Amino acid sequence: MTIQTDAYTVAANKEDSTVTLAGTLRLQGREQYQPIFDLLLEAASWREGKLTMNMRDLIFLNSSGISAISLFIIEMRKIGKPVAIVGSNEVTWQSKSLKNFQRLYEQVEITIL
Amino acid sequence: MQASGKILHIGDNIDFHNDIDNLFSVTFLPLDFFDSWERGSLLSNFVADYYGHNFPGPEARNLISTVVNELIENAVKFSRNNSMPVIITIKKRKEEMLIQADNCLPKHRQDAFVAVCREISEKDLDELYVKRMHENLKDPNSSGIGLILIKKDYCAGLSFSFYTDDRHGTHVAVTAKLDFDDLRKQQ
Repeated sequence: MTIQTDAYTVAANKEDSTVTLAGTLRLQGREQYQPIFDLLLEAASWREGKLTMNMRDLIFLNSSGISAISLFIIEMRKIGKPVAIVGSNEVTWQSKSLKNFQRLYEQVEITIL
Repeated sequence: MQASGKILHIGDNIDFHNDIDNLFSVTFLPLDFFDSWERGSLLSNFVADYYGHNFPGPEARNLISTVVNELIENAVKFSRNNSMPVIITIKKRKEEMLIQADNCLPKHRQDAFVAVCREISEKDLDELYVKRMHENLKDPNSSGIGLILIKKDYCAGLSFSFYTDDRHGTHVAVTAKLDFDDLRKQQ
């Protein structure tokens, strides 16, 4: 299951329960993020256990995107599903802001490589 | 924009006028962005690339582009009217970058926006972020997340000036200051 545009790719892999986000995600608001939010919810429903979100190649994510992912994390907290987020130390917004997702749900594990 | 009447300042004291090395300014209409939202990203990346000579490296580029983009998006979304100008002004002073977005505010949102600015300037930002995210569940237009992140995660100075001009009514000028000397010390 993949959403792909010239600016970004969001791809969910059922085999390893991983959603990979890459490129530039600077969409206008909640409505524009809804397809990505829905993809994440569906990927989370595939298997028991942890869902991994690989954001290492996500160069930009605007605050509307951070809000959309935050809402997804809050949904995961409601159902008690653990989430692992993988980021890159070389992408400034990730080294600065990924930790915020952990503030919303203690079962978010952040790895910055 | 020529101010008339009282000016209300909230937030950090940021000198936006003295000892400036260079500056440039872009004026556009929110309508331009609603036609093509990607313009915000293009403009933000241009600013980051332009100042890449002074502040080199992918980390600085990502930081500058992110902050400029948030201020642009905030100004466009909270403009009074799609046909009233938004002015983005970028200034460099030694190791500092000053980024200002000026837009007209709709009358019915002025008090709410002043309250958001006061919260960002006075409250614990980690707590405010969590609170705002939970409010967002009910109200997707709950504002200020981008501004909270600029101040909280990027340690940027942030100031808000509310003023009135005779032609367009009440404006807010949001100014962010990135001090690369301070940022390097934190690394």
